[in-house]
Amino acid sequence: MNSLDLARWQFGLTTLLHFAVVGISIGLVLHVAWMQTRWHRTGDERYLRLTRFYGKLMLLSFAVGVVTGILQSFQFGMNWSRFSAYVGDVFGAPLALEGLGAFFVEAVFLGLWMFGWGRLPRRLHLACVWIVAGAALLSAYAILVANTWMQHPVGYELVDGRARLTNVLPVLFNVNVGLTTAHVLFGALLAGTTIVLAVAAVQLLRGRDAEVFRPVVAFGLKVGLVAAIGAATFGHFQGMLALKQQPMKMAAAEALYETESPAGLSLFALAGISTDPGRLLVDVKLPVALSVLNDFSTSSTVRGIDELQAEAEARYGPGDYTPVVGLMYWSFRTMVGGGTALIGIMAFGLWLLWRGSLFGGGVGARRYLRLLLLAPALPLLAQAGGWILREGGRQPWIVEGLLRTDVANSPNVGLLAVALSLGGYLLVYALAFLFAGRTAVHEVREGLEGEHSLSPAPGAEAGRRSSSSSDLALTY
Amino acid sequence: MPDLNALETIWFAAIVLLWGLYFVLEGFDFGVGMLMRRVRRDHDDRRVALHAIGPTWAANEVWAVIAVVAMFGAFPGWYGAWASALYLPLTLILLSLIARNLAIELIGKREDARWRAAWERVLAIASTLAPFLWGMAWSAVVWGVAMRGGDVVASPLDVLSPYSLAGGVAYVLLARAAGAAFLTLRTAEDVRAAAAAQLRITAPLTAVCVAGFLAWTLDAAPGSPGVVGWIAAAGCLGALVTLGVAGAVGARRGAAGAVGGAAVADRGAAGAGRGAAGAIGGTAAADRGAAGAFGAACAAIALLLASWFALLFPAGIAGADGGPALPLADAAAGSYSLWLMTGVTVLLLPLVVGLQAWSYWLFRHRITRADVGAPPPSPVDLVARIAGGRAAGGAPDTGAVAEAGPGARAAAPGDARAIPRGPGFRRRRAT
Repeated sequence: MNSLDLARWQFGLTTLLHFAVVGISIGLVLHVAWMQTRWHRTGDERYLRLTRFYGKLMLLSFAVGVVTGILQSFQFGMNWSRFSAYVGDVFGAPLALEGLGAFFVEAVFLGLWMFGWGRLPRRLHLACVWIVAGAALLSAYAILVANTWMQHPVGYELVDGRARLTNVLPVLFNVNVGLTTAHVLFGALLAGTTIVLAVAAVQLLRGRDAEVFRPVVAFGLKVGLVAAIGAATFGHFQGMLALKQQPMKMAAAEALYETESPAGLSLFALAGISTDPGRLLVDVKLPVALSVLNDFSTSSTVRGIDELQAEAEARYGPGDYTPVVGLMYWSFRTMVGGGTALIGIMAFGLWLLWRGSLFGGGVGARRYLRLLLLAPALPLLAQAGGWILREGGRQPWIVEGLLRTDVANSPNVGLLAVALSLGGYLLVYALAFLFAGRTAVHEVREGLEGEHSLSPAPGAEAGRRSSSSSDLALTY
Repeated sequence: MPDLNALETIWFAAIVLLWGLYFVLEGFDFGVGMLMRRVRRDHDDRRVALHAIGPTWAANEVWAVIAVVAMFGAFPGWYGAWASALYLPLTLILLSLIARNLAIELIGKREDARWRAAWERVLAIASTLAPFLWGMAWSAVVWGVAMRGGDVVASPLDVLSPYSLAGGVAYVLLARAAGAAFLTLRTAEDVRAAAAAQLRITAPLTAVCVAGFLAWTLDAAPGSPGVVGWIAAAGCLGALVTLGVAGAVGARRGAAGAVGGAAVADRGAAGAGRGAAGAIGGTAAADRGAAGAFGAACAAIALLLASWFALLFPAGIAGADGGPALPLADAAAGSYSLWLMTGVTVLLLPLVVGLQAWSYWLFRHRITRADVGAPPPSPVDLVARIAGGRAAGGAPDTGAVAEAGPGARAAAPGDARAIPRGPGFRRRRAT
C-alpha cells in the first residue's frame, strides 16, 4: 500500500458516498417539486403536507450532499496535482458552469425555499424548488461532462505533455455524455423514488394518514417503473458504445478472456483470487446472448482480454493494461441485477395496484409494503456497482489512452498525509450519515405535520411578520 | 519570471476577486458561528442569530468552490501545486467546513438541550478553526514553499511558520469583528445588544493586531508589493483604523443611545462606503457605528487579501528561502480555454451576484425573537430575569415553553439541565 493506492481509495470511497447522496437528492427534489406543484394547482392540502414532509428529508439529503461535495473540488489538486495540471484546461469550462450555473444557484434558491415559506409569493416559492431541481440536473450534467472526457477524450491537442482544449463542443455534446447523463439521471430519479416509496410504506404499515400516502405510492410506482426501465435502456446503449470506445472495460465486465464470435453471455463465473487471474475456474454461459445484446446480431465478434492486452502492449509499450477483472465482473452484475430487481418490484406493485389489492390491507399487500422498505438499498448498490465499473474498468488509465493513474498523483504528498486525511474524512462522513440518518428517521416517525393553512397573501412582501413554529419547521 | 499576457492577468485578478468575495462573505458567517455562545441566552436567541445568516450562508460558502474551480481552470498547474502544498491546512479546513455545515443544519432539528449544546460547541470550534486555517494557508503561500521545477517538494508540515500562524489569527479576528457587526445590524433585542458589546471589544483589538500583521507582511514577506500592493495595504490600514474607531466608539455610544453619536456615525458612514454595509445600514446611531465597522471589517479582509496577492504576482506561490517560485505564466491554461471560461463567467457571474444581492434584499429585515416563533420579552420576563436570572441559570431550553406565551418563560423554574449561558454573555436591556 503506497500513497497512490490510498489516494485512489480516498477518491473512490468519498466519491461513491457523495454520489449516493446526490442521487437521492436529485430524485427527492423532483418529487418535492411535483408535490408542491400539485398543491399549487389544486389547492389540495394533502399535497402541501406531503411537500413539507418530504421537503425535510430532501433538505437533510442536500445538506449531506453539500458536505460530501465540498471535498471534491479540492481533492483533485490535493491528491492528484499532476492530473489537475494535465486536464485543467479541459475541465475549466464545465466546472465553471457547474460552480456558477448550478451549485451557486442551487444554494441561493434552496435558502429561499427554506426560509421563504409564508414570506415569498406562492408562485415564486414554487419556482424556487423547480430552479433547485434544474440546477441539480445541470450540476450532474457538468460533472458527467468532465468524467466522460476521462473515458473518451475529445476536442484537445497535446502541448508540453498536457491536454489543451481546442474545441469544446465535442466535449459538451457527444453520444457518451448524452447516454451517461440520461442513465445517471434516471438512476437518480429511481433512487429518490425508492426513498419516497419506502417512507410512504412506513406510514401505510403504521396505518397513519393512509388517504395521503396512497396516492404517493401509486404515483411513485409508476415513476419508479419508468425510471428503472429508462436507466436500464440507456445503460444498455452505454454498454454498446463502451464496446467500441473502451473494449477492455467491457471484456473485463464479462470476464471474457478469449475473443468469441458469436460471444456467449456469462451468467456466473469464478476464478482464483487475484487482480488478474488469467483463467476462469467456473463459467456458466448462455451461448450467443452477448453478441445479441451488444449488436443485435447472432454472429458479431466480442474481443477478449488477451487480444486487447496484446493490442495495448503493441501500441503503448509493455505493461499491464487489464483492470481488476473479478471486481469489474461482479460490479457489473450488481448493477444489472439491482436494476432488474427494481423493474420487477415496481411492475409487481403496479400489478397489485391494478388488481386493487395493494391497499386492501391483506397479508400479501403488507408483505409487499415491507419489501418496499428494503428497496432503497437496491439503487444504491446498483449505482455503486456502475461507478466502480465505469472508473475501475478504465484502469490503468486515469484518462483513457493518455495519462496513466500511477503518474497522476501528487508527488509531494506521502502515505501518512493521505492516510490521516482519509481517516478524518471517513470519520466525519460516518458522523454525518449517522446524525443526518437519525434525524431523518426521527422525521419519518413524526409523520406529517398537522393540518394548517400556510397561505401568504398573493404578492406578499418579505416584510416584518412574526412566524409560527410551523412556518419554521424547515429552517434551522 | 515570464510575464503573463493580458487574458491571464485578467484571470489572476478574477481569482483575487473570487477569493476576496469568499473571505468577506464567509468571514462574517464564521464570525457569527464563533460568537454564537456569547450572544445567546436560550435556544430562541440562537435561532435569531442563525436566521440572520440562515438564507444566505450556504451561497456564501459556494464562493470557495468557485474560486478553487477558477484556479483549476485558469491556472491548472497553480491549482495542483497550491492544493498539494497546502495538504495539511486544506484537509483540516474541509473537516471544519463539514462539521460546521452539519452543526448549522442539525442544531435545530431536535428538541433536546444536550443535542443543541453539543452542536453549538461544534459550530463554535469549527467556525474558529476554519478561518484560522484559511488565513494560515494563504499566509504560507505568501511566505514561501519549497519548489523544484513546478512541483512542490515541501512536506505538509512546512506550512507551519510563525508568520502563517499569525495570518490565521489575523483572519479569525477580522471574521469575528465582521460577525459581531453583522449581528448588530441584522438582529434585535438581546442578541443585538450582546453582539454590540462583542464588537466594542473585538474591533479595536482586531485593528491593532491586524495592522501589526500587515506591517510584518510588507516588511518581511518575499516579493515586492508594487503600486497596487501599496495602495491595497494603505487601504487596508485605513479600513482597520475605521474599524477600530467605529467599532469601539460607535457601538458604545449607539448602544447607550447617546445623542452625541452623530459625529462618530459620520466617521462610521465613511467606512460604510468601502463595503457592502451601505445597503444594510440603518438610521440609528448604533447602526451607523456598526455599519461602519462592518464595512470596514469587510474592506480590511478584502484589502489584506489583495495585498497578499499583489506580493505574489506574477508568481502563484512564493519560493521558500529565496528558492524558485511558481511562475503563473507557466501554470496557465491555453487561450482557447481561458476565452471560453471568460465567456461562461461574463454570462453567469453578474446573474449570480445579482441573485445573491436579491436574496440578501429579500431577507433584509431584522430578525427578532418573534421571527423565530418565540414570544418577545415582556416586562414580567425582565423583572424575573433581573431578580432570579443568575441563580436560575437562564431560561429552560425547551420548545414547549416557548409556545406557552409571554411570561411563561419567566414563570418556569430554570431547570438544571438547561444550557448554561455562554461565559461572555451579559444581561442587558434591549435597546
